[in-house]
Amino acid sequence: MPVVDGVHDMGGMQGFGPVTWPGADAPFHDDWEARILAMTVITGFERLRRNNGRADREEMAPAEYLAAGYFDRWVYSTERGLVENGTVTTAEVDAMVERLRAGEEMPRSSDPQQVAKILHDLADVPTLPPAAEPRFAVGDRVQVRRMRPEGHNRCPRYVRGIVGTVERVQCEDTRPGAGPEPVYLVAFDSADLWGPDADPGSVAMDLWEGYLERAPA
Amino acid sequence: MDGVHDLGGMQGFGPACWPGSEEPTHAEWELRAFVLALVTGPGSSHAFRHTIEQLDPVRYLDSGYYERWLYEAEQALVESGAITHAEVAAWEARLAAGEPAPRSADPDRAASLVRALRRARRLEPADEPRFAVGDRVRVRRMHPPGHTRCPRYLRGARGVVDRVPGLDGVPDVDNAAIEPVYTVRFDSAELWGDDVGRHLVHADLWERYLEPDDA
Repeated sequence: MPVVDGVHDMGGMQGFGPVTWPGADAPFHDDWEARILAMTVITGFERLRRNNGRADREEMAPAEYLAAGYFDRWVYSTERGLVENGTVTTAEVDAMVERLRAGEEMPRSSDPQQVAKILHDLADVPTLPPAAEPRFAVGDRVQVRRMRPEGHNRCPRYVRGIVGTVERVQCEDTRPGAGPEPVYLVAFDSADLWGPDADPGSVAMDLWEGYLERAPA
Repeated sequence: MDGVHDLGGMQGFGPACWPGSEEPTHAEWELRAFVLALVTGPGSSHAFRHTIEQLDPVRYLDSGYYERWLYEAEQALVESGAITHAEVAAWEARLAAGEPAPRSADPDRAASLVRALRRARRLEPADEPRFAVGDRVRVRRMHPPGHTRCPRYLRGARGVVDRVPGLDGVPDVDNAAIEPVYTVRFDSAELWGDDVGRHLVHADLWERYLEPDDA
């Protein structure tokens, strides 16, 4: 059974240390991180791997997931996608790791045309269309559904059951595991999330229509 | 604190039972850790659990049950000044070098500990509980800074009082406050919607975690 509400769903949890620290804003913290980003992008563009990154990463063993850095998790999901696509085998990966450990030079490939094409395609981000027939309007009170969904999900556990207000109707986008749906920016009062003694404020997040229902009057 | 220890409602941690999992301990040192924690004990389950819940999340998940007890015992002994971390490290080195573990035998103390363990503590009945069996209640929204026995996955959920077991110390405040405890029954749909087969979840909750459900 796929892990849905796993340890990756950290919203509302405590004890994981600071979110930012000096240097945290750098895109990469080691050379290999840029390489795994490039490898992931290229194998995706060339359809060499199954593209199931988030769902795969969420199935890492919980302690392994927490101990891993951001790009460590990408290594995990990219390797898994390549193996499941039949592009490489786990034995080949292990053999290559052994060869690199033994001091062999890292194989390199350089294809400026491919790089230029990928950079061009990456920059060409399609704008999401406006919501076709939104069920909710700005100002509507909505309640996040209680759920235990199958497969990867973008509705954090800590907002389920909470009533919020639609701040904006964002666009139409494909909900993971479902079809295209309106996406709403929904604002929640911190007291509704964490009780009356929470620091005052609000939390706003994008939620698909399928995660929402009209709040009871 | 709503840390990674609050596993209720989360998935992906593997089976809860496996062949042999019903054994009280799985290695001899676990029994020793149990006795050590008991003999040196903090006297309050609040302090005990709060210490364990402050373990680094990765280490918490990687540790077995009695590894966490051992961690707690060491922290508590260091905090009370009974030992220092340096002494623990030195002992680790001596044991690793083959020195036999020191042993201590005090049959009277052991007998009194066993007696204390075997003494079943019945809850005093609650004279004037705020809620009665059958009352509809709702678990409060909260963000407790310390130890709590109110799992995150129940907060905001509506349920029905199933039983009033009696009075007990509130773990959130070091057992100093005594309050009625309620066994509350939740419909699975209230917790997880219609995505799972219908079942009931029962949880023992202190009065301060609950409010009347007026809806």
